[in-house]
Amino acid sequence: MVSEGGESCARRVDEGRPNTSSEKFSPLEADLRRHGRPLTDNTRLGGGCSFRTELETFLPTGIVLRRIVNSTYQVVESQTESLEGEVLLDLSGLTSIRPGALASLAALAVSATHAGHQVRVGLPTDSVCCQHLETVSGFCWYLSNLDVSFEGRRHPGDFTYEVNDAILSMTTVTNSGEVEALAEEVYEGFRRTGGIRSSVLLDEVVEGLWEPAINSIEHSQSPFGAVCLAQIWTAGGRRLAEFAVADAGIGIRATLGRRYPYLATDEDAIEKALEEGVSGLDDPQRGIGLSTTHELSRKGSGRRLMIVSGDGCVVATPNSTGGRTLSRSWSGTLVSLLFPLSR
Amino acid sequence: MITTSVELGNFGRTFATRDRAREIAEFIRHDYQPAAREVVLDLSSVALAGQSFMNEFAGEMGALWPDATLVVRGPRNLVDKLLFHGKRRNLRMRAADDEDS
Repeated sequence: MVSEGGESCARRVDEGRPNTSSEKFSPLEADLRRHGRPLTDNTRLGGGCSFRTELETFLPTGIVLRRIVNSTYQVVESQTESLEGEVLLDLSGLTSIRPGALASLAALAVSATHAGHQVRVGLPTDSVCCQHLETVSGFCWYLSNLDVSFEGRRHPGDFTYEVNDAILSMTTVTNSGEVEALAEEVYEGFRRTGGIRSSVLLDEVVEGLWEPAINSIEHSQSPFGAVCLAQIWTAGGRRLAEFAVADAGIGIRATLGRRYPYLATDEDAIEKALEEGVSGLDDPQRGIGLSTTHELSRKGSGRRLMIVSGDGCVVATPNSTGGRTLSRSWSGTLVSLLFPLSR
Repeated sequence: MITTSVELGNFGRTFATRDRAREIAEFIRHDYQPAAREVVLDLSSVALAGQSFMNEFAGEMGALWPDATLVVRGPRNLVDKLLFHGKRRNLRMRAADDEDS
């Protein structure tokens, strides 16, 4: 039996350290802790206990995603610090992630490897979610072509992907020719799955992907181009198509800043970019990419556009367009667009 | 009246980018009739064409035939899209349906 004084003493001893008896850590996180490199609690989505240790300077940077991740901004906000050194993407606790967030995660990993950092990915212990990353979305296959290592898998280079409900598995575009090829693939994907019969809707849906991709190629100055993903999924009996384009370029505010220096925040810059005719280029015929995408998001019930750039996040639906400032910043731009395919 | 026709389907069926519009215009430039007063832009065999492409394509066609009327034929959504950009550039452009009906 422990006396009151003993408990108090124990609290003092444990202060600032993980309480291993009451906390559940992912295998990857536990491994890091054993090596004296625990992740700080501010890395957690909806984290539990609070501790920041003197070992913080030795921490790997990265992301720990918990359970369900619905939005690109959740990925951005779960970053520990600016990504340097070894980057850990701990997805072991993940049970569900939507395409937009997945593309953001991939762009983040590519960005880190491009900057010369070692990236490790902890795959989900949830078998369905893991299978989704390993096969359907092409996420693991995509990252395995980079110098990324995977935890919890015997043959990390042995990923394949299936053309299932993925209209476009994760891919990178670096020039306009590749965007054109991507458009063909998306078009064929919808034809193959019989996802869309209306040529007007198909036109809109494909445009929802390629306009942001073109925008990224032409303006972002991203070192690796743009990561793109298009997928059909089902929620509440409704079939939805979601597209995502993510880059690690200069961001919307820097792009527009040359012509609109009064834009004070990233949120202002994103909202400005949604207006027709607004462009970083001094050409009155330009400035239709994001305004077109915005217009698409307002045309049909259930559609939703989300743009994250810097620490700004703007969400547009048929009824409203609104922004917020994130707790973390993304060096680049993320665009995701959701289309219901059935009522 | 001298007329000429550009069948976009000869160049593919999916058009996304401004570069593509410039490439097509460059190809047409070698073989076009500058004296034409009516130019039919036939989109009948085109599956998809994006705003960026249409914007640039309208500009290129307007530059090739600044004094001609550009008549757009094809699926309504694509015709409307090209007309939108033609109007934005103050080009003399109309849908083929407008005359046919």
